Amino acid sequence: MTTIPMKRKSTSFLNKFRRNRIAYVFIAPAVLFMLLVHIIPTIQAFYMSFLDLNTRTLLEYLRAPFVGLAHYKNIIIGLTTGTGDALIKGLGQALTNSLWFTFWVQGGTLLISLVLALLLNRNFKGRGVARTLVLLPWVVPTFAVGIIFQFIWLQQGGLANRIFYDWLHLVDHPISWLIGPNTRAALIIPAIWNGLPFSTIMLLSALQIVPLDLFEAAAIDGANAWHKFRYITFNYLKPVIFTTTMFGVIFNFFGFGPYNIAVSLFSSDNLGKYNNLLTIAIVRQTFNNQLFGYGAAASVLVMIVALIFVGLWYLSFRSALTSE
Amino acid sequence: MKRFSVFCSVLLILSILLTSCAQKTPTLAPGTEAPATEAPSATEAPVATTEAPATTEEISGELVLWIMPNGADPQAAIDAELADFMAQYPNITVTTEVVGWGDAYSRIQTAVQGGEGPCVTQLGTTWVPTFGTMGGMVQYTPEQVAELGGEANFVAASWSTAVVEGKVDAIPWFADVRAIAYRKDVLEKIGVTAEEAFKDVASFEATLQKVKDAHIMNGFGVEIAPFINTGRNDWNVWQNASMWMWNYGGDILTEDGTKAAFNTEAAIAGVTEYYGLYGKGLTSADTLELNSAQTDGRFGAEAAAFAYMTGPWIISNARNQAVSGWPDESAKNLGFAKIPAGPGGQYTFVGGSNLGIMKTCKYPEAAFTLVKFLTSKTSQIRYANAIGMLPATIEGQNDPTFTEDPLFSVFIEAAKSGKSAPAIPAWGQVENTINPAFQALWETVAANGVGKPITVDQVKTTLDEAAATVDSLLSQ
Repeated sequence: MTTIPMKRKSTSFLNKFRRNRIAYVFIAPAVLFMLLVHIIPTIQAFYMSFLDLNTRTLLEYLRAPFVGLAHYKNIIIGLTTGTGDALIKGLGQALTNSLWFTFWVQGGTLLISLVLALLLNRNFKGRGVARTLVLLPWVVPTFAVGIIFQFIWLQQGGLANRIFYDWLHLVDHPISWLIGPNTRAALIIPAIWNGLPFSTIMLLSALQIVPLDLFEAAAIDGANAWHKFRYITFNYLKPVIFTTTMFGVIFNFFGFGPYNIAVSLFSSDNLGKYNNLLTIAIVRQTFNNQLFGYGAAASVLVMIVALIFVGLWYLSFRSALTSE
Repeated sequence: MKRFSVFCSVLLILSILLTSCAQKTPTLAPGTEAPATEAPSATEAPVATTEAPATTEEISGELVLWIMPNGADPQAAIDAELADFMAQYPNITVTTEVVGWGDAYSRIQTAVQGGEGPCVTQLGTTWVPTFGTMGGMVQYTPEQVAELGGEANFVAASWSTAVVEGKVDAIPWFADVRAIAYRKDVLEKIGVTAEEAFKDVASFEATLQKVKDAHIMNGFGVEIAPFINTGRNDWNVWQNASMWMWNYGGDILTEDGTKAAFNTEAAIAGVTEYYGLYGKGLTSADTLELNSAQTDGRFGAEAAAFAYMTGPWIISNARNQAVSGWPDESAKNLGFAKIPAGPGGQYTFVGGSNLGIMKTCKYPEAAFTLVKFLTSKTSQIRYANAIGMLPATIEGQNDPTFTEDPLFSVFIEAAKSGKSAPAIPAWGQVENTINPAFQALWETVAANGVGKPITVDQVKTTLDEAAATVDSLLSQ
């Protein structure tokens, strides 16, 4: 009973393959590339997370001693109790810092890019130039962003203190941006600056498709500017806001962008209690302490958390992403 | 929600597995011991057959040499050496690649694992224990060491960085010695001689106070701060602190390298003195956020302080003002002095770089020939001069080029009482623990502010915590 449909199915698959084989040929290089640089290393990293791969066993690589879930256990103990393996201390603090960092960077980026997009959507002289200028931070590599802002934040001769202290006299002494609690702002601000173009362009493109007759109809009904924004503009922006926020969180919480900015900004990967972010802590502990098995386990856990986040995000905002 | 429930269930099962299975897994230590005992035998393979001395024509090979950006023009400096080398050994060709300090560590690590790599590579002195323990480096035989002039031919502090667990994993190439740079004209203005100023810690601090009280203005109309040093955002954090620990009779680790010593009473006293200078108002206001390059720049720009810890590389800045842009005031008045003596002695930090031969090298004999050439007297003097460092060999350092130079000679003298990082396999992990601790102390100094110098208790609390971590990892 089952052989006939299966035969039909396989015939149909073969037919489909034959019909679309040119498409498969076109995507083959991309698939091969993804397999080599993404899928296989991911599987390898997953396997490495069960190995005791460190300084003394590095040459054995995938033949290093198998330790099961020991690394995962150490990480979870470290995260939940603040104790555990001395070499991977500080993960709990890094997690908290990362949550705060992501909240402020993503919140700030969204708010400023929304204002910028609304301004750039208006008709004014030099709009083309302004739109191009907004894109500038995008072409600056994250490493260079850190170096640029290091010059801006310098206590003596830095641009920020030149403005706040020398010119505007807003503070009674030059501010130390590169040590102490101010280092939080010193890292968050360049991260926002670096993230603005993507967010602004996405929101601006969404604003282009808002039908103008809706605003005219709303005006006839007596709607004020806030009502027009809340009930018309925002509705059209919602899918873009949710998408850019998701990408922003992935980039800032799980990504390497903040790592590159921070390391060049502070000339060190030891960022102290204020800026020790999760990715930075994992990279430092993995490579400086030569704990590659641990690093792989931590990366797998981060990947699982990222997948959960994306899944939950999609479930929560599916209707907003697919409507209209 | 259904899919989410399934996902949560899978995660829950994974968590349960994780907790239960982890308890059954063996501890890490036994697993790590097996390869450790195997590693030496794997690396004991003969390096080069030096029994039958080969003529310069007989030795051949195509070598790749990795160096880091040494000096202002790294490529030109090494090209000069290799041109001479290849003229002497026509059958050996050497291709050089200048690898950035930021990438070098991970690239060498990849090469050790069997990836594309060099035959001979420059190694930061503190990297030798790690790569040596991995088994990626060819060990130099006693015969080869003898051929290079023996251990006695190298500066003791440099040699100590090349030997790990009794095996010679690398050969010192050049030395980076630290001293205090000062402005002679400022000392003249306050009526203090260099001998008095740097005699000991007490006289040094008194001199700084005199500079502060003198309110000397620089050419830009800004008051010269007494002292400028690197702070939190530097790559020499523990190195700078170590000299004060040593001079107070402390050390980083115990002599056998099995326990932390940086939290002993003597070490804490030294660190408290050094870190306390900011709170006493004796440093530049921005000193806590500076790195080494910025500190060099601030001192050279004359708008900054008059004394700080640095290396011989800034001599070329003072002597080549067209390139460095140093004003006459700082260039013509540059002087160096040893780190002031403390109750435990007068030591200085010696870093630098070593030369390692990779186990994957197909031409070990040619590679050793290159190392031998680069550690020869002529090459040592020429290359050290070109990159603004000191030779790592005694005969190189004793050359009049350095001993009769008023600026270099201070470093030569200081190197005689030089110390370096303990060459133990776990040094990378120790360094990764103590660096954040010493950086955290700079945060404490910043939080206290000027007028409230860091206290012994504050230093002790931070260093005790780091010491517990170091003890724990050294016991593994």
